[in-house]
Amino acid sequence: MLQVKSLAYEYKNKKVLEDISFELSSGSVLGIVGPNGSGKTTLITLLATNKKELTGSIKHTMEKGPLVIGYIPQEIALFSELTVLDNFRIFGKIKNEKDQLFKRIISALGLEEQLNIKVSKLSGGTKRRVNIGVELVRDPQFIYMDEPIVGIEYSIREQIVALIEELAKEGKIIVIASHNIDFLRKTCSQLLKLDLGKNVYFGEYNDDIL
Amino acid sequence: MTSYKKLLGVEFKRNYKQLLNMLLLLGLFIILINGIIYLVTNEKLKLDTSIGLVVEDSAMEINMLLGSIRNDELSDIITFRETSMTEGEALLKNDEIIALIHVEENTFEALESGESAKISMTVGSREDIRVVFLSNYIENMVEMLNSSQNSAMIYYELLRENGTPYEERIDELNRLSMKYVEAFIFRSRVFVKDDVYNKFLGLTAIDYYYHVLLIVLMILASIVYHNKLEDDLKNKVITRLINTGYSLKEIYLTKVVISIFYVALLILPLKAGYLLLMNQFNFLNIIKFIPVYIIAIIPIQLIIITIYILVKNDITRDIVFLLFFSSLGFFSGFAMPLEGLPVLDVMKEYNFLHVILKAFIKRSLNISNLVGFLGILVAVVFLFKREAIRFD
Repeated sequence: MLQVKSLAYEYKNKKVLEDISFELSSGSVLGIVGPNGSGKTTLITLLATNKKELTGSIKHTMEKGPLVIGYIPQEIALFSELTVLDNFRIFGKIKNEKDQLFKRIISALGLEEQLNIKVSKLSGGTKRRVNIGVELVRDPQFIYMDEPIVGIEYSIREQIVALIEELAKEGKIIVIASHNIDFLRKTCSQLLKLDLGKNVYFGEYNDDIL
Repeated sequence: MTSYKKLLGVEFKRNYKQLLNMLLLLGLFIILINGIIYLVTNEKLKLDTSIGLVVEDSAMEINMLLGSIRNDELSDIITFRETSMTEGEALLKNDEIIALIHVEENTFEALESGESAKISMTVGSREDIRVVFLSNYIENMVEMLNSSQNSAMIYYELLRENGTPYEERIDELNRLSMKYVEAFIFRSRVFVKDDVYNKFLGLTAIDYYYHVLLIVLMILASIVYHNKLEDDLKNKVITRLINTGYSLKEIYLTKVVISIFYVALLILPLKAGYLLLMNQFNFLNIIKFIPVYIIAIIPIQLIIITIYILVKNDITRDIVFLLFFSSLGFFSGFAMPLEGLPVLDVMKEYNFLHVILKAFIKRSLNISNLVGFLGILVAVVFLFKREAIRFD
C-alpha cells in the first residue's frame, strides 16, 4: 500500500507541490496528469526517492518481502558506454541471463537481439525500452514511471501496456506520469490531476478529467 | 564489497577511452616542457648584459675603483668586457654589449686637481631596463666622485683662508680626495643583502616547472576524466544508482579510485621518464612517489567532483575551474616563484597546491602546510557530502 499525506515540496523558495494526499492499494495503476510545470516529474521523483527536504509523509507498506522501489526517469539513465546486458547487471542487479524474470522482461520489451550492443549505438526508442527494463528486472513492488513511452514505436507500446497489466495483476503498485492519453486510458485504474503543484483531482480513471 | 567491485568494474570499463585523453594531455605536457627547456637553455634568449669597458687611466685608485665595481654583486648580473673605444663602439652597434663605459686618461689626476670625473657612458637603447639601471649606477658614481671633489675643494679654500702654505694645502686636498675614493669603494655597494635568492625552492628552473606542470596536468586530467559526471547527474544515473541500492560513498569512491588509476597512467610514466632523463631513476623513487601522488590527487579530485555537482551550467563551471585553480596556482608560485613577499609567503604555506608542489619536490612540510592541506580536505569533504545528495 502507498500512503501519501499532506506532501509538500519547495525548491529554491518556490512551492512546487502543495498538500498532496492519496492512497493506493495493491494492483493499482495511477496516472498523474497535468500541464507542463504542474509538478508531475517532481512528484514521481519524490515518491521514488523519498527526499529529506519534503514535508508530509510517504509510506510504502509491504505485504511481504523487502521493499524494492523501481524508478524509471524521463531521462535515459543508463551507462551509454556499456552494453545493454552490462546495464541490466548494474541497475537490474541480475546475476545470470537465465533468470526467469529477466527473460520475461527482455521478451516483453523486445530486447533479445540488443543485449550485447552498446547503449550509445541504440535508437532513442530502444534506449527507452532498456531504461524501463533495467528497473523492472529488480522485481519492484512499487514502480514509478516518468513519461515511459516517449519515442517508443506503437507495437512495443502495446507490449508495454500488456506488461503493466500483468504487473498490476501481480499486486504491484504502478504510478505513471504521462501526456499520452491513449496510453493512460489503456493502463490506469486511477487518476491524479495536478495544476500548479496542487491536487485538483484524485479518483477513478475518467476521460473527462484529462 | 560486491557493490564496490561492480561499480569499480563499470567505472573502469566505461572510461577506458580516457586513455586517449591522457595521451593527448601527455602530448601537451611534452610540448610545454620542451618549450620551457628551450626558453631556459637557449643562449640567444638569455638576457645579454655585457658591458664594454674602455679604461685609459692606469692610476692605481681608478683600478681599485673599477675592480671594486667588477667584483661587486653587480658581477652576478653584468659581464664586463675590456675593449678599446673603436672596438667598443662596433660591439655596441652590433648589440653585443648594451653599454660602453669610457674612463678617460688622467681621470684621477682631474679628480685630484678639483675637476669633474672624466667617466662617460654610451648606451645602445635608453628603453632597456638594464641600461637604465646601469646608467643610474654610473651617474651616481660620477656624482659621488664629483661631490667628494667639491667638498675637498671647500676644505682647500678653508685652509687657504687660515694661511696654510700652498704645498701643504695641495697635500691635504690629495689626501682628502683619496679618502673619498676609498670611502666610495668600500661603501658604494649596490646591493645591501648578500643572501643568495632561492627562487625555485632549491631546484633548477626546469626541475621546478616540470613539477608545476605535473600538478597542472593532474588537475587537467582529473577535470577531463570527471566530465562524464555531468551527464550522469543530468540523466539521473546517480539517482538511479542510489535507488538501486548503491550508496553515495560507493558511487563517488569508485569514481575517485578509477580516476586516480587513469591519471596515474599519465603521471607515473612522466615521473619515471623525467628521472631517467636526469639520471636519477630508480624504482624506489617511483614507489616513494606513488603515495605522495595519491595523497596529492585526492583533494584535487574531491574539489573537481564538488564543482561538477555544485555548478550545473557548463560555461559557468569552466569559468569556476579556471578561476579557482589558476588563482590558487598563481598564489602558489606556479607561474613564477613569488618568494620574498611576506603576506604571500604566509598565504602560500596554507595553499594546498603549494603544499603539493613542496611534497612533490621532497622538501619537508611544516605544520602550516599540513593545516592548510587538511583544512581544504575537510572543507571539501563537508561541501561534497552536503551537495552530493542534491540532484535537482
